[in-house]
Amino acid sequence: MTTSQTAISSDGREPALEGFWQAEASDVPGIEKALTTLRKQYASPAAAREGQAGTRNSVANLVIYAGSEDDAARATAAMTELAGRHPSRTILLIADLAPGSPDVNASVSASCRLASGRRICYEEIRLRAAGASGPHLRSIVDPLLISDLPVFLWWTGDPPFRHDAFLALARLSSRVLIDSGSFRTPAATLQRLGRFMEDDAIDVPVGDLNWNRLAPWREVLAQLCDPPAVSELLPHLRRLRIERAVGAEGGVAPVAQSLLLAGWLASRLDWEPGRAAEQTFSGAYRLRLRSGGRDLVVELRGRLAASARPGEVQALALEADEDQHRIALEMSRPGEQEQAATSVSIDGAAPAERSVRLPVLSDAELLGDEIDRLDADRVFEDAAEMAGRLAALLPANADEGLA
Amino acid sequence: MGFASFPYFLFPRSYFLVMTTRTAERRPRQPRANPLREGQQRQRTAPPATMVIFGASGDLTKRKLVPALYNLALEHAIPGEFTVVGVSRSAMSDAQFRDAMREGVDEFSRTGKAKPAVWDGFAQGMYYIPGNTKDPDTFHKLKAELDKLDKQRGASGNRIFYLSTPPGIFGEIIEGLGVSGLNKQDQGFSRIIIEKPFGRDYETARALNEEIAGCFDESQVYRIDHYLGKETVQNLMVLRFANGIFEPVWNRRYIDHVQVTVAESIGIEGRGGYYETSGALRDMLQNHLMQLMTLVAMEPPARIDADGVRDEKVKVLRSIRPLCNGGKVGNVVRGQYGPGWVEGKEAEGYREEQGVSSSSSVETYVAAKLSVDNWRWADVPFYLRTGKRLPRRVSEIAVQFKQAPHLAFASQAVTQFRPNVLALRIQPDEGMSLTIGAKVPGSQMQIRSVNMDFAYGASFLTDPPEAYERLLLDCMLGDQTLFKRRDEVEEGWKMFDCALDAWEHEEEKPNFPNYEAGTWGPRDADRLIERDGRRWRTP
Repeated sequence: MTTSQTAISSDGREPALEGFWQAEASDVPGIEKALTTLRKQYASPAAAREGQAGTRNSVANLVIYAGSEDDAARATAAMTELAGRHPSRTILLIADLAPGSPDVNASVSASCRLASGRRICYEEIRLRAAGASGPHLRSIVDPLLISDLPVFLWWTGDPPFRHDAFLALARLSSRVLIDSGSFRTPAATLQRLGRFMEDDAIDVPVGDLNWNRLAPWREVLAQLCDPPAVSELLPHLRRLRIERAVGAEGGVAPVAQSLLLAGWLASRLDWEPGRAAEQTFSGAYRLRLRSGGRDLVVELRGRLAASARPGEVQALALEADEDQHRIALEMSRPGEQEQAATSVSIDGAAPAERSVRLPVLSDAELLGDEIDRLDADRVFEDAAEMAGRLAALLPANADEGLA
Repeated sequence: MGFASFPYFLFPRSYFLVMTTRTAERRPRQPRANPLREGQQRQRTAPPATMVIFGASGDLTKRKLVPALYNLALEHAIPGEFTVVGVSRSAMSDAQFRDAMREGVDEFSRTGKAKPAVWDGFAQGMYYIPGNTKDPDTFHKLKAELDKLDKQRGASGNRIFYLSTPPGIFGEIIEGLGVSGLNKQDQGFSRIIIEKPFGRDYETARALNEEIAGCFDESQVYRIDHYLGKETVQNLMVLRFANGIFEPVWNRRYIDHVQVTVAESIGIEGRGGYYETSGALRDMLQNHLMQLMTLVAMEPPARIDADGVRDEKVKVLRSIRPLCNGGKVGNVVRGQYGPGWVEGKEAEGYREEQGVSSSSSVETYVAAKLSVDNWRWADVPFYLRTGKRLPRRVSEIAVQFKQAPHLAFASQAVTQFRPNVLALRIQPDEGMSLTIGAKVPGSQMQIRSVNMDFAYGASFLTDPPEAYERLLLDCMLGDQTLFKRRDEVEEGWKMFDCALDAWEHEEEKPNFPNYEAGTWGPRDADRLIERDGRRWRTP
């Protein structure tokens, strides 16, 4: 067992590390024993003198599945940021799901941080597994969960919705978190996600970090639609254009976030998906949907934004008309700036323009939002199912060229 | 039809409220509601409105009100049409007012310096009208300006009047609003927010309320006590009424007594002129501490809504045993600080402070023992204390439970053990702790008290909003739950009236100063609780 004490400076977001302790173990009783030992070590010096163990702060169990070291590193970074203010029992499972002879080993670590003058300690259990089956993984994870606290499964990468490892862990969970923004094959995986949520065999609420990234967009858009002059025309939308960031001219970028945004509008406004999408010369997808007995065109296209995360929505535009009335509404964010310009024009009048804050949320903030809720997010589920149906209309090569 | 000319007034106020889920739950969803609102994280968005701030050049506007409004705009909780009109006597242009307010936001906003583009959008909706509130013409000018802005900005005729002025001119403002017809709700809502103090005794509070009632219906009146907007104060209701384990023991069978402490380490911070006419009872005990006390003591309301909660609070106030018996004041003690040391710095005495009379008998500390005469609380005293220049800044409610009926352990085992206390900290470090007895590890049986802590900061990721943000948004949404109702204010004064009266007319002045700055108050306060066989906690 190794013990180290490190101090790093606080950058304002990440609480300063006060100490870090680590131990190895090979089975569940070993892990539990290692945790008890660590807890005695990280008891604050004052508490230790009085014979008290350190306080473990937890509001939730977080089981993270990472298929690669890169995913694991990203998850660890998010957890470190989250721990200061939303401490959870973390079980990080780095596993190769390919069949083989089972091999599992574990390391346990505890770190204590000072966040706004308060000492917060949290424990992480890191499991490396190969060739383990679903029941095998479940039998390791289950006893390590803190009882009475909700369990969140964060599956990094594209979840294999039918794999027994995924299903076993999902059945342990109060909520499954995914990030459609990092899907390797977004169009295909979104379709599978839609089917998974329709499936009654397993009824666990799903949350998507990428959906939360869209939250500021949805909120501002809803607010722009609050005035009756605008909301009354919402059933009469004729055009929707969504632009997502691409890194280079003519480059490709995942389409998941655009599909979710379109899926949200489609599900809230009762649009019906129509026939297969066309791809324009510039590479944009043009989908024809039906709304209130009339045609509606949805265009998903790329926009050069080198500083933004590829696939992030950068702009959207809506147009509606009915009888003598029409509205044109636009929102756009230049790059990664935390602001968006909005413009609303009613009946051809000069547009009302505003600048609003549109925060770019970190993984930890997105996770924190998800951990705050336990119930199913019906609006998201409707949007994701619709996004899956829209994804099915895209050309078969929609996922090509993505890393 | 443009944004600005859309006839918002054709839609009743309730139309805008349907957009919040809360209201939507109570009534069937209306077909024309915005379908994109469903499932949004922020479910409380205010309708377009204009807020008129009287006393716009004052400190509160700059430090609290405008930063709170700006943060609401930043969080998208108020719409782009939201308009602010400042009124005060100083001559200032719109641009100067905007600049002054921006300085306030840069310095005092919890979200840091104003974000330029967002601020510019927000500030476009800020206007300033210089005017003397004694002059009826000011209100006619104001009305004309508001009508113009409604058209220009689409503020839909909804108005909120914020009285952030010295209380001496509340009356003339209320009258001016009435005479000019700004109190009418024919185009949209008209609401008035009044800052404390709501009077300085029962009579003046009643007179002020009469004045308000002459022009505004009680449903239009929002008496603000920012203490009620604090998260922990609201959490008190959650603690009591959402958790099944506390309410069954929340009564005289299990609770020995309750202590409410609001301690300040600061002095009067140059506000001697004000404080000389006020004192700790009026400034703190009568409002803030009584709010905390009533929330602890009230019966569970049938519904957490404006009248549900306020009815129960008023019932508690009416159950409190009068402090005077046969004209003699009992169960209240007061104090005034002399020089001393606070938080490592030398502090002067109250009588040496600027603007304070050298023979002042104004109290800077007050402690009271209150008895609530009802079935739940018979024989459970509530000890309340508040003071300035105490050793540190802390506000807490401590509910001390009764000792276990029989301690079977050997007497030496329990020397370090105290009865269970549930302490609710309001500031700093919002949270709660429960002391429980635990066995000290070892071959001996020894029991000591350990704390089980719950800290807000460690469990929730989001920063709680400033009290003013919450309360201003509540007012825009028409929710009066966290504002004081007329009878609540009057009952709150009634119980202290005899003490205030007796102190004002006593022949023999108190022997002040009677506590040293940086100590926990006068010896009399200790006697008040010690004669019952109890002690003040050190919070």
